[in-house]
Amino acid sequence: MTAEVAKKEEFPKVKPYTDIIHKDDAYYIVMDLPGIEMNNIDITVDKDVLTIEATTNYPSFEGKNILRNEFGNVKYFRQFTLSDAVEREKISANLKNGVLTLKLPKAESMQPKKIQIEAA
Amino acid sequence: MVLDFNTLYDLPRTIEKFFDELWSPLEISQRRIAYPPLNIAEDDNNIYVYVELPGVDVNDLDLTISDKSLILTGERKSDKAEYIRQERPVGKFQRIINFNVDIQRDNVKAKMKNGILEITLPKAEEIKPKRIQIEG
Repeated sequence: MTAEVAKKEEFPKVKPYTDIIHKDDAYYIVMDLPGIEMNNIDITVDKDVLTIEATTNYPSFEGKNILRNEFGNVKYFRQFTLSDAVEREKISANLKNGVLTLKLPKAESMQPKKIQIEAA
Repeated sequence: MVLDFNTLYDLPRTIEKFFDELWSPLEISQRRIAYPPLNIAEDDNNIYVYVELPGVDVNDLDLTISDKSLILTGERKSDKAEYIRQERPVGKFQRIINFNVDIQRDNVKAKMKNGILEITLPKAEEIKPKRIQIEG
């Protein structure tokens, strides 16, 4: 157990920079995840909690002499609480050039609706 | 609204989360003195520069190389949209990297992958370590 925990905590946990954007049809979560590829990211929705976990996998500097080191392997971790305004089944994700974009479509009932006024 | 607004409805989890956050190093600040963060390494033949630039278009980046320095300038742009939360840095940036060795300017290579810019700068032939044969 201890070894397991120690292994998991190998990389520092980092809260990635995130933008949340509101558009007419959906909310967008845009997250900086430099060094992340499709296969080392986990996105889960458990009840109303959206969890994003990703671990970087940079090649080692073996055989090279390090002159400056300002970033390294990290474990990105962030959680969000979803409200009923979001259609959970329709959340989609897209990863491009180290940026994760999650589209959270609004629930039908939350879409703006125009009400016709009947002439009396 | 979407996020973090209805936390009060799930009180046990909220309390749990509070303690989780208290004990975990989750709040490690990514803020640094210089932007963008970079790593520099070298071997006998090359100098390697790695720059963390997620989401930056190659067209918004400019690399200028002189004999002994590398100037990286660029801009991070934001959407014209209604932001509920904005944490990702936006704006112009510049970093100058000085080298104490000569660089073969014409053979510098740069590529962008997963938000990491990798620049390979070959060292000038004259300064490479050379083995000298001793005649017996």
